[in-house]
Amino acid sequence: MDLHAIAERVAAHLTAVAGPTRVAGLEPLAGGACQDNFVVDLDIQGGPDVGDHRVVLRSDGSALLDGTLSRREEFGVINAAVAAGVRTPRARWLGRGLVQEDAWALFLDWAPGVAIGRKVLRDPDLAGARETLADELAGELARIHSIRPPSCGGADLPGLPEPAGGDAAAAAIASARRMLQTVPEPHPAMELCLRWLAQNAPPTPRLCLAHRDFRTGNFLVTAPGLSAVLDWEFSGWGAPEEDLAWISVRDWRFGNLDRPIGGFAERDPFYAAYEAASGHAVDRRVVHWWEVMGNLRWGLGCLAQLARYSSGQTRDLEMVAIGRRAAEMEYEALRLIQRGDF
Amino acid sequence: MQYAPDAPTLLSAVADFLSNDLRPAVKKADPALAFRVLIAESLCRIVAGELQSEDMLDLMELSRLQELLPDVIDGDVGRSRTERVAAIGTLNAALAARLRDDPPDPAFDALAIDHLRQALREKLMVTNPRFDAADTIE
Repeated sequence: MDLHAIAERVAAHLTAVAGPTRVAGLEPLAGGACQDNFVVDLDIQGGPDVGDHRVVLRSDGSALLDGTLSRREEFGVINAAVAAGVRTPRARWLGRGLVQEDAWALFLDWAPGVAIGRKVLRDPDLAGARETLADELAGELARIHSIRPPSCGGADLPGLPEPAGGDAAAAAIASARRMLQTVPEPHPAMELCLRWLAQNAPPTPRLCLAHRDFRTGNFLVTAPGLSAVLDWEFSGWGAPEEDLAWISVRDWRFGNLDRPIGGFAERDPFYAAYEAASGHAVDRRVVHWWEVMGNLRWGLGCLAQLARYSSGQTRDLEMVAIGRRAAEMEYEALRLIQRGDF
Repeated sequence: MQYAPDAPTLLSAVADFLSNDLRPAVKKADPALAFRVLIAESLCRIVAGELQSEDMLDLMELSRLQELLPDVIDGDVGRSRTERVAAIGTLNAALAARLRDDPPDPAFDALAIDHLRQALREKLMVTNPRFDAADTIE
């Protein structure tokens, strides 16, 4: 990747949309399987944004993962979240062809903090932050879920279709079924999960924006507490319980299995904080259903990453190694089904 | 049949090399590469363990599947490993199809979930021995 050429295109784009701009630094960032991310230092010499800015340039990669938003769509979601008061870096200066030909790209304000799950859960410097994190995240979720779709009087967000009949559970079942149909090996455990999910599907009385990847590893945390919620690429119109459950999916506890909220907190205070911030009661049976669904989805996600390896799309060792991990999510989903709700 | 060392011994030797020699050498300069070396080491150890337990675990899975679905395979499965693996594949495909297409049958579904959890426990003993399969998890 020619960093020099990217820097030149960035300077030209920002000069056109923001003001005369010099790119003082541009480095690739690790992580992000399907986007190209860079940290960029900008010197904007005129216009309303004049001054030095450290930003993240986030561009569509060569292939979009199924069911994820493009940067253009993510731009709309992030700015709706910012307008709703969600602590997430603002998205600016949407552009095209900055990194790859025709690929949409956006810029996020830089936010400090640690995202890596194990560090968030174990770094001694973040001990104080872990005390307040559940409360803070419950508030962020309430604000995310205050964003309503057009059918509930909210604004349209490009690229986000509403689920058929406003039924988020049915849409999730259909999406899991579609993914499972592409898997070459039989997965009777996933079939059993889908059977149980269909038999127990809850209604969706409050359709709202669901982040859909709201979990430890996607929050930036600093010593005083939550710095930012990141990674909106899976978001869409859905049920609030999708997010309330996803944070508890076993793999996102990073080994702290006795702390079901992201590996750092108990269920009771988190749900109570969400109820206080949102004004909506948390139905634990519905959260349990979505936690089963969450484990199924993540198991299917592991198989989708393996498929990217098997098809030759990637040669990354991590992608082929993750395939067998589907067994962990299947086991957990079946355990939750037998256990019953919380 | 090959002379010694056997396959598990060779794989363990590769894993030790990756862990003791290669990983420390690249850890500082390239953490992302060091992480992939760790994955490679772990895959070698998984396969080394798998080679030692797969015959027994496959037999257990096959016998449970035949008990659960007695009508799927006519006659003898055969004695070779290839035949056993093919039979497990056939039975798992039949189980998946039944759970997908047949009307729900609570008695059968309860037997199926017990079998599936056991099959997954057996997979995880090999692929992730540290996985906690206890029922007491929150």
